[in-house]
Amino acid sequence: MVSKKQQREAVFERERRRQEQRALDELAAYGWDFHPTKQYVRREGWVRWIQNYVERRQAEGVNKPWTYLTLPGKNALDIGFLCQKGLLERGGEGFQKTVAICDNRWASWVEKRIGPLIASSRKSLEKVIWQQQDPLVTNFPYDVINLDFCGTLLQNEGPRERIIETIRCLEEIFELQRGCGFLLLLTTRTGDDQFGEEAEAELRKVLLHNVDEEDEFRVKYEARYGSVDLIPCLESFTEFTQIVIPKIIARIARDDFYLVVERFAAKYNRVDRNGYPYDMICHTFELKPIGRRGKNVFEPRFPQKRRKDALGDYVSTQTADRASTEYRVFIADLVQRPIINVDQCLADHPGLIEELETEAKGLANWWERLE
Amino acid sequence: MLTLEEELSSKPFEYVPIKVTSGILLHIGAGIYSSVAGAIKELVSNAFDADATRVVISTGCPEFESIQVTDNGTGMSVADFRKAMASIGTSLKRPLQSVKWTAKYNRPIIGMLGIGLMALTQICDEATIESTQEGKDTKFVAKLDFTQFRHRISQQRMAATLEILRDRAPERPLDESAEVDTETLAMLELARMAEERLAEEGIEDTEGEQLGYCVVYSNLPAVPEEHGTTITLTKLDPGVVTSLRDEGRAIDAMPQHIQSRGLTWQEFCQELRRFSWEELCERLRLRTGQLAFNALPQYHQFLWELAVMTPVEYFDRGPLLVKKDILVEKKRELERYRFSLLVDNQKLYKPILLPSGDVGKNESPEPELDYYLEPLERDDEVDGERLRYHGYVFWQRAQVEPSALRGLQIYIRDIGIGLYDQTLLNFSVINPSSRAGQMSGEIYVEEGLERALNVDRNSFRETDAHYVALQRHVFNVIGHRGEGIVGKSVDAYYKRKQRADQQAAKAHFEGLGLLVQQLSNEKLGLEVSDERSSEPCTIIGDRLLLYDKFPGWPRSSFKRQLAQRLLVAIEAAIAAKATSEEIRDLIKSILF
Repeated sequence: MVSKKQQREAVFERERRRQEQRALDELAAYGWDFHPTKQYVRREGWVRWIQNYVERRQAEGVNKPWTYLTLPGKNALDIGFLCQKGLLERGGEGFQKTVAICDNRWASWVEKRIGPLIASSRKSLEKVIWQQQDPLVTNFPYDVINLDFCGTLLQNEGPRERIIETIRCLEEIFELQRGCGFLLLLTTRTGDDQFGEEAEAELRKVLLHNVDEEDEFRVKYEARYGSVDLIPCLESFTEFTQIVIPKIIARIARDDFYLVVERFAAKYNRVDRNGYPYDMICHTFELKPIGRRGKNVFEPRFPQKRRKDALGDYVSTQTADRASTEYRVFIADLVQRPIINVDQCLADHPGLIEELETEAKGLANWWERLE
Repeated sequence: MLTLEEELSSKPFEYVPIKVTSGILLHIGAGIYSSVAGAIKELVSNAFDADATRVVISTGCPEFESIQVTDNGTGMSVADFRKAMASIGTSLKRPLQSVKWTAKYNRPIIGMLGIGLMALTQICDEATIESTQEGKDTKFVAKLDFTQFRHRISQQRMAATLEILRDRAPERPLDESAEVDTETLAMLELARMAEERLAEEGIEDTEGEQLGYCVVYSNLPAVPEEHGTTITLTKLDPGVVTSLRDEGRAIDAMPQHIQSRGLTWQEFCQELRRFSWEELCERLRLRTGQLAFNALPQYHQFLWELAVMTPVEYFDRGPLLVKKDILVEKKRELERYRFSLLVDNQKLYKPILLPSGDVGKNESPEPELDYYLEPLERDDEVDGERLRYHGYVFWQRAQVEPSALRGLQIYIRDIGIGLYDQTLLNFSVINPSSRAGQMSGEIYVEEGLERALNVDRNSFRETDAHYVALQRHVFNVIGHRGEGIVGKSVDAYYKRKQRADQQAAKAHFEGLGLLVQQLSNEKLGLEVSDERSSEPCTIIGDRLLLYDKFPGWPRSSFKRQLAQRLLVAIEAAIAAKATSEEIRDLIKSILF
């Protein structure tokens, strides 16, 4: 018979292990933030394209500061790097006009360092996105949305429902953007250990649908994998995910009358605390509202958030047709597009490692230099 | 017959110990903070003592499921934490010692660590404290559980009720055969049940009260160069959550135009959250959109209270828009502390902006006419201890807005002791007709007065010599009829009245001048004379002289102006050779 004291001690012991694990994860995440690989993505995948986007926006005569929604993690190095590059405007004591953050663990922590923001939420994005009154939601649309998930975007817990929930979250983000052009930076973990069978089946269905329904996609898929069978693609789960995720984004974009341009696609390898390797994939998508030109590209198309099925009433048939065509063109290219292998790239350029390392280390405690 | 004194003196002495049950601690603990802001203030004070430059509070508005307070201070060691946990209440004595200063920003230490933690018991059942000391590579996490403390409080309350039932029961008659009425029987039965329940529960006082327990996980790896403390409050008291959510609050308290839009309190709260803190304070100052303090959602009242009580900076233009040099040293000192408080992404400043209300709407209010300012300063010894303070009392000719700024705010070591004392240290109680609602003041006590603090740290023991000395000073400054601020306010009233009369007279004579010119076909011009004359007016050349000091004018200013108007109109008409018909019509037009 286990005494009450023993039971209590067992609970405390479990909690101790949990706290220790959490602390170690934080430590690992902290170290990884300064890793040259991560800095490569920050530099080539994010800042480079943000700069490009912001310059084009300015050239079109949009003078109001651009807004940035990010899941910054503890060090918020992305914000720091953008600041260092002179891309983010900082007024008064913080980023009250430019940055919104969402982080269920570090929102307060970051806010404490960098000052007041447009909005900051310490709930997970999947939760806060449905709260219409939350300042993070009321301040949509944003010009750049950086969804840097340290885990998987398509979670394995609660298999199918969870995937659908995440996709709905992405759909909601698009709806909240109300047809305004934006950059979407997406980083997520892959690895088949992360998926339950049901979740995997759901993703296969996404791919199968394209193989069956889209002729152009089928031709290119066959050319790439030698048959229309899904197995060769599934052999590399990273490759599979890098087709499926952009495909999901493209489908949502089509429904919201956006044209998708993939500016950056890369993958890199990480090792977790237990020595288990897994891949991270990152994409930079530019979402351009179809049929809009000049300054209007950067302004909301719809005055308020509409139900998806009602959106068609607000655009011309020509725009709707073009959305379908652009979708087909985009997904057809997915199987054959080049994907940067960051690890390989760094191995080929050892000098770059040092450069990136110095650059990342220079960002440590960047907020202190703001004051 | 012996008198009572004789009787007592005939007996040997009797030793009666005065006992205090330790249960009283529970009651003190249970009632130590009257508001959520009062409890959170203590955590902010701890961060201030830890040399934090930024404290971030995240309330999870509008759900309020948990509250998180994070600071970037020096953090605390496990040993400090353990000490504080084991001896809550000892830090109560600390403020009585001489002032100590923090190492980095030279802030006066408030020294309320234990009390700060005790404050948590008021608002939640569970709390997690995570702290990393500056320069250390390890941190600790402590999980606090106050359910035991809360259970003890409810147990004590139940015991008190049962004891009342037991002790109030009538005595059972010695003669068991005697008839007892039903009411007495019922009371006796209740008393018996209460006695049984008390025995069952085994409720008794213990040597030292235990507030709950905490489990400390120390030596956890910490991220390099990180330091500070994060306190997360979970399982919030349902009362706290209900209050912050404005649940069950009558809609009538909202501004009328918000009510008519059919908004709920939650929607109104979200709407107000779109304003920056300065915009909100400005709206309250000017009552824009009928926004009054009592019409604010509880969440915004919470922010207000927090901003008043914590050592945050003033707005650049505050506290007095009409006199920038007031509290200028204090403003510099608060800036030097480099302490900022962010609540849900909103940086808080002291919400004090005066003049306000009707006087605030006036673009250039005049001193001694629209407002009066009296600085307060003292530095001497009272009852063997130094008492040093400075501040101001401000009076304006209309009610101070928002109402939460009416009265006097006292700070000890830059921390607000409760909120504005609307009685002006009891002045308005003693002088009910005083202009309390038109006064607002702040007093920063740099030394002394701490000994007068009550255990709730939100009020004072009013018999303490320091408090009495301060009270006298304030009373003298406020004064009464003919003296002090009250006297000045009366003078201001007469001055304003005099000025208004002068302006009205000027407008009257200007009107008369035009009338004379018009009726006399530009032949006559009006001149007002201050000379005493037996005639009300005369015509000299092209001038119509009106003697304002003519003794025959009616005393009432209305009648006097009417008489003057009639007279000059008739004289001007005659000069223009008007017919009697025309003159009659003219008189009619003036009178009706």
